[in-house]
Amino acid sequence: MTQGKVDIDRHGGTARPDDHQAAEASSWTDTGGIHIGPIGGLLLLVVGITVLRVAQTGAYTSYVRVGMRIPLLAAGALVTLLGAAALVRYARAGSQDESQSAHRHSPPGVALLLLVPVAVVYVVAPPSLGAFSARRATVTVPPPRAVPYGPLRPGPDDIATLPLREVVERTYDRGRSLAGTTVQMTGFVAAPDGRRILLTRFVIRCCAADAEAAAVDLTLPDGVAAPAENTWVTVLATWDGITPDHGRPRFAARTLDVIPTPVDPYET
Amino acid sequence: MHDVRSLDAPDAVAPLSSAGAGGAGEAAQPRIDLGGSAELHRRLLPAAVGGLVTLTAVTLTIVFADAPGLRTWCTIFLAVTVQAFPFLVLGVLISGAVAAFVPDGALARVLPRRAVLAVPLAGVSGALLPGCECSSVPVARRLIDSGAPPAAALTFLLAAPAINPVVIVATAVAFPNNPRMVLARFIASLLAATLVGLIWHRFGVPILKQNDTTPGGDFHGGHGGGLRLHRLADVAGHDFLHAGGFLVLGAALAATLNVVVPRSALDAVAGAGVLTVIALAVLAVALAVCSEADAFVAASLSQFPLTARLAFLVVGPMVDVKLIAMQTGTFGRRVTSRFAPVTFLTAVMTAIVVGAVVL
Repeated sequence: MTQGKVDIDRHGGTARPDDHQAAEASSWTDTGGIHIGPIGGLLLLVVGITVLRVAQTGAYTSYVRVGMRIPLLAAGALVTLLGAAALVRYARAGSQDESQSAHRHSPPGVALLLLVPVAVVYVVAPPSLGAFSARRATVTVPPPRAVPYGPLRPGPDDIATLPLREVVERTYDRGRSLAGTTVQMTGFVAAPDGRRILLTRFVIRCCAADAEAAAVDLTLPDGVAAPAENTWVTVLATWDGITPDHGRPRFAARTLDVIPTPVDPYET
Repeated sequence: MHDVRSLDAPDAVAPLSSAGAGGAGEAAQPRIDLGGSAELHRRLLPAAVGGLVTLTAVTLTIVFADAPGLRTWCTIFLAVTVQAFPFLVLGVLISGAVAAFVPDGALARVLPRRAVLAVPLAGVSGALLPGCECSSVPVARRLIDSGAPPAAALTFLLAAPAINPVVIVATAVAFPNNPRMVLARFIASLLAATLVGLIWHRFGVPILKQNDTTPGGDFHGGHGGGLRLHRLADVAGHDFLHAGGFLVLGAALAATLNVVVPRSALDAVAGAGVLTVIALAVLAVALAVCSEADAFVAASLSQFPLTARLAFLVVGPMVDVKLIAMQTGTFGRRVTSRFAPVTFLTAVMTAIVVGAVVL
C-alpha cells in the first residue's frame, strides 16, 4: 500500500491499478501527454496543410461561411507549425533518446480518424448542398422580422436584385413591398418539372449542417426548357402576389440565364 | 521495481493489459511479466481499428461518391469538421497554455474550497471562453489535470459554450421579437450547468487527474520560457490529435443523422404539448449544430412553442452526438455514460421551468 501511495503522489493518481476510471480514460495521456512522435507530427502536418489548402482555394465556401477564411488560415497555419515542430524535435531528440522506446512515441489511435476528412477533401471534394437536400427540406414560414422591409429601390431598368432569402421573406411582408416589381434572383435548379422548377438557395448561419432552403416555385418562360438539377441560373421574375399558406411563393420568369456556380453558393 | 512502474504506470491500468490481471493489488506484477507483447497489442489495436475504419470510409466514399445522398453526407461531414476546426485549435491552445503556465495546485488554491461556491463560480467564468463547445472539452480536461475540482470543471464545460458573449449576441440577433429568449437561455444554461456540477459533486463517479508521466516532467519548476513553449506545443498537439479524432467521429454521426432523418419528421409532433420539448431536445442532440449558430436554427423552428425552442438551445451546447463522442474519448465511457444522461435530463427540466417563468 505504501508503494501505491508513492505512485499516487508521483503521478497524480493515474497509477492506481484498481481504478477502472483511470483505465478507461487513460488514453488521454498514455502517450505521456507529450510524445505524439513522428506519426503524430505527420498527422498534424497533413491536417494543417489540408485546411490551409481548403481555405486558400476557396473550396471552404461550400461548407462554411465566407468569413471563416481568416480563422481557418490562422488555425491551419498553427496546426502545420505544431506538426513541423514535433517532427523537428523528434528528429533532434531521436539519437539521444533510444531508451524511451519507440512505442511511446505514437499518437492516440483515434487520431487516425483525422485522415477521413482529409481523404474526403482530396478524393470526393463534395460540392455545396444541392437539389438532393432541397427536395428534402421542409417549408418553413420565415419568422417575422423586428424591422419590416422598407420599399424596394429598383435599379434604372426597374429591376431589383435581391437575395433569394429576402425575396421569400418579402412575400410574407405585410407591406407587400414586392408586388408588381421585377426581381433578379440567383439560385440552383431543384425538382424540375416541365416548365416549373424550384429555384433554391441555401441559407447558412454557421455551416452547411444548419442550412435552410430559401426557394420559390418558378414558372419558366414559354419555350424555355427546365435546365438539369443543380444548374445555377439567374432569372428575372415577378411574384403572383399571393402570400403562400403552406408552399413556396410562386413566381413567373421572364428570362433565365445559366451561370457558373457563384463564389459563395450560400446566402447568410 | 518502483522505477519500472513509474515508467509504465499509465499502461498498467489499460483495458487490455489489465483484463487478465485479476486481483487489483497484484496488477502491477503480471503487468511487468507480460512486458512487451501486451504493450504492443494495446498500442497496435487502436491504430489498427482506426486504420481499418479509415480505409473502409475512404473506399466507400470513392465507390459511392456519385450518389447524391452520399455526396450530401460528405458535404455535411466536412462542414461540421471544418467549422469546428478553428474552435478546436483555440481550445487546445488554451489547454496547452494552462498546462505550461498554470502551476500545479494554483487552480485549487484560487477556487473556493466548498463545491457549493466553486461550481457556480466555474459556471459564471464560462462566459470568458468565447468559443463553441469544441473548445471547451480539451480545456475542461486540462483544468481537471491542473487541479481544479472535477465538478467545477464539468460545470465550466457545460456553461462556456452556452453563455459566452458571442452566443448571447447571436441569440439576441436570432430572436429580435423575443428578447426574453436571451435572458431565458442565459439563466437556464447557467442553472443547468451549475445543477449538473453539484449533482456530480454529490453523486458522480470520480474523474482522476491524469498528469503525464514523462520522466523529467518537471515543468513546474523554475524553467525558462523555451521549455514552457515546448510544453505548450506538445500538449496542444496531443490534445488536438485526440479531441480531433473524436470530433471526426461525432461529425460522421451528425452527418448521418442529418441525411437519414428528414426534418419533416418533426412536423408530426409540432403541436403536441410537452412532447414538443422532448422532440426539440432530441433534435439538438442529433443535429450537433455549433452553439454559435443554434439560435438561428431555433428561430426557424417557428412551428414549435418557445419553451421547446429554449430546450433546444439549452440542451444543444451541453449534449449532442459530437460532444458525446468527444467526452467519451476525453473522460472515458464510465463517466460519459452517466454524465450525458444526467446533463440531458437536467437541461430539459431546467428549460421547462425557466421557460414557464421567463418566457
